[in-house]
Amino acid sequence: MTQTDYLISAQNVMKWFPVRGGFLGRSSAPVKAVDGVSLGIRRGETFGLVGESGCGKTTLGRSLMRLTDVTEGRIFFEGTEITNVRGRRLKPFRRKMQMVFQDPYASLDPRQSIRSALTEPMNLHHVVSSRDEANRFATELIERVGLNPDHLARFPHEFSGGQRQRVAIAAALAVRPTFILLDEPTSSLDVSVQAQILRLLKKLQSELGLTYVFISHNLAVIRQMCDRTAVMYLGRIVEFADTGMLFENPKHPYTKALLSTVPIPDPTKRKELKVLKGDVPSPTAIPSGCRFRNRCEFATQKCQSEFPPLVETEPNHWIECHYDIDFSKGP
Amino acid sequence: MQKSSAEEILKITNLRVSFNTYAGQVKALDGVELTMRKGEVLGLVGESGCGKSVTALSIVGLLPQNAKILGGSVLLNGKEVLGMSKKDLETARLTEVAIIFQDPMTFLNPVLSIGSQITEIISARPELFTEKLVKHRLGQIGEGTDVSAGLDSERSHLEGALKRGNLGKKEFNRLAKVYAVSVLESVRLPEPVKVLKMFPFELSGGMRQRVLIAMSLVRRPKLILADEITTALDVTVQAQVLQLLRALRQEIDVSVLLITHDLAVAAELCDRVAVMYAGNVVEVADVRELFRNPLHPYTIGLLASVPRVDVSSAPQEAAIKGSVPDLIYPPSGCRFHPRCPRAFEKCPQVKPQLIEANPGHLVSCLLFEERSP
Repeated sequence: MTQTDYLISAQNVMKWFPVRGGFLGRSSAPVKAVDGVSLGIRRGETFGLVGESGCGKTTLGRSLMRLTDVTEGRIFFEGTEITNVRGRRLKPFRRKMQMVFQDPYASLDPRQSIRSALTEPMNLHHVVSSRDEANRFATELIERVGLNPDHLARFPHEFSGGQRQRVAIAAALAVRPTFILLDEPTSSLDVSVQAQILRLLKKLQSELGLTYVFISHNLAVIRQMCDRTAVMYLGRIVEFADTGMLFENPKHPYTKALLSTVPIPDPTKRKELKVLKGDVPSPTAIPSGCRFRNRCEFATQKCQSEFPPLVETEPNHWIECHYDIDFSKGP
Repeated sequence: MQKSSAEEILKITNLRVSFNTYAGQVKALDGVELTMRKGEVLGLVGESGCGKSVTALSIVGLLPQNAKILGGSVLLNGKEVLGMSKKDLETARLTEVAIIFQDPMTFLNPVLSIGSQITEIISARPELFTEKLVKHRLGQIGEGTDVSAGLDSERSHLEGALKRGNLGKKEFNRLAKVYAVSVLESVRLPEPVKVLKMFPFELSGGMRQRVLIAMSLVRRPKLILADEITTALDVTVQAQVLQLLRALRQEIDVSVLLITHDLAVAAELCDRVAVMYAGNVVEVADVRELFRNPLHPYTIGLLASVPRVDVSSAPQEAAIKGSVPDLIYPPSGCRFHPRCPRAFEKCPQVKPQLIEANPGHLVSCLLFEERSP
């Protein structure tokens, strides 16, 4: 596929953070938060990014949104390259791309009423032409996210965590975006409220034709929400497939290990929780060759010396691994 | 009902606790009933604000200043904890019960090495320092292993002292070190001798949590209260800690109250599970029974809300409506009634009791009180 078939695509994106330290603040090895990621997000899909803390999923999300400059690589939005677009010229793209963060306490101004939080971005991006229209649209939005118009006059502290997340979603929708980055949108919520918010996000997607990138560390939530899923490890996508395929038939040893460590809410299915050896290496000192090799039970000499290729093991199922491992037998 | 049998390590009856805040009185616990048998792992699950941690803090007498115990009883190993003197409470915390929190960094002292923090606990219990125990500990460090290599001088010194029959302060310190190493080893920390010299910031999150578990084991408690101990960890590290807890169960005789908001964690580890909602225990059952046959409408909704990694499903139509009530103005009668899909006219009026609906399966819901005679 070419760049125009995707809503957003990335080519070999890298984001390195310099580390200052040592004698006279000389820079040492950079933190390679995102270290060569290519992907394409289709219109109307939910694209999942999953991985443990520090794997670079949030940094990748921020790079796609142009909230941070990338060190290398190219980013396209609707076929237009936006890698080096800055300032005022970025504004039309900002309108189309919105975000919802994990912490709804931090993303709402405590001194701003909900009405103002919703109408301010509308005016800023000229999506409405009059105050009446703004108010009408704000009312429509607040009902759409399952609150009622009385809530518009209130302030963030008057809401519970789940309600606040609903307000944050309404604020994201206020500029009629086509794309929303959801960065751990339910991680701070209780399960009963999480179910409500996930349901709401699904409903909004089908009503408004939105495209989502859904970032989460919670594999179960990813499975419920996403059409396609990419698994990240130390700044790279190590496996990428349709969600069903990825969960039923993981091909990368890391994905396999990750899935087998997730507790299952069914005591009859208790199993040995597969324990990965060691800890995630520091992103300033990434292992040579395959970055997962020091924790991989199938690692060979080749994994140490050669960078693993990206292979399509079955249609639409990609892994970055030297071997196509049959986990019942070994490589 | 005040009597506790020898088989019960913990018996909480009608515990009511409130907090005074500037906004009003938060009725946090509203008659909690909970019984724990010796040697079991009991899961205490529920959403934030339901009173899981307050229950745990009441057991160890660590409630904050603005808390007020309105009534009830907490029997720890047959002894009443509520109203215990400060000194007795301290003794209980040293010998009977240990608590482990979610964030290890708030518990560990950042400027003391792991070794000195562990030996500090040991020196608080000098009765552990007997000749028999010295011999036992020495026996535990196998000769010729990597671990014992770092302890050679301690070993020869202690063996010498044992022969002479004088065990003094110096020997105590050496023994404490040996003891600390063996405890760190028991929680599967690699290179325990090295870890003794390290400071908390040098350890990863999973290692810190293991140090905390080790520190709680030093005291040889009969009951461990584990409050959300895996919540801050990544799944792969969580798996390591859960696996460790499973293994420790086989090795030592201890009861664990596992407090968690994650039903999946409870399903993996617990023998029995108690579900809390808005300051009440609403259901208690054997773990298999609870997941197979939940009775309370809240438990049913909670189980339906949990996303699962092993089956493909869409997010459920909001299994439980609304959100947790404000406990300054808790709902009358059954506190779950405003959100309950099966509420009927009696629910706002009558507070349900925890009754045995099936053998060993307790539930606090008027739907089941109707049925029973």
